Amino acid sequence: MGRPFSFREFKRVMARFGVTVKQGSKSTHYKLSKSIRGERRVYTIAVHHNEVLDVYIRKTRRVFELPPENGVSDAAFFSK
Amino acid sequence: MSQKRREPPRAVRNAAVITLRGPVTAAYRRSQGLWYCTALQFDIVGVGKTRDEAFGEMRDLFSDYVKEVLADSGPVRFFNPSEAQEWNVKKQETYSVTVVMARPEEQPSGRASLSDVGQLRPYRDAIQCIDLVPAGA
Repeated sequence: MGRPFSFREFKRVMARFGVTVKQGSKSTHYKLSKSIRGERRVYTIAVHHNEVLDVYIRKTRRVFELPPENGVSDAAFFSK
Repeated sequence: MSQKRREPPRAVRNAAVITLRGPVTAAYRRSQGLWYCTALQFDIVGVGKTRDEAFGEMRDLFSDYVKEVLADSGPVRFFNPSEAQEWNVKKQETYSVTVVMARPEEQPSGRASLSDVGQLRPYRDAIQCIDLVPAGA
């Protein structure tokens, strides 16, 4: 955690966990979504200088149940 | 409450503006030269070099968020509260959500609320703008 995370890497990780990433109303804003137990979860993030800030990584993992507490270790989340 | 209210586009100046019941709490913190503004009920965060810039980004992300929630006809989790420690931040402001309807004849009857945002779904195509305004304004 804490290292710069490119948007390209972020999209690849999100795809690996079944999270859809769509463009938002601005070129730097993105809408994320995934169905979990029959309920859709939605989240929105901003991308600054083509990097996803740590705060968005942390909150995205929480919304889509991807933090270590849900059994997704940092190593598993960030693995290539 | 230093943020200026965003002017609606000229084309919708005669449109209906609905104010939803229920607050959105914005909490501010500063870290490593950046401001973070979080909508605590939704854990949506805007980041910026200034407090206003962070608020503006959170406001835009919140608008996208609500539109995306309304775009789906199935069950969608709307509230996503921030973690407990974020609610303890002292710098907080309370906002109301306004929804600008392009066609005034198309809007829900009665007073819409954040806790029942799904009632806006049938009218989502008529929504021009979703904004945050200081509560009580």
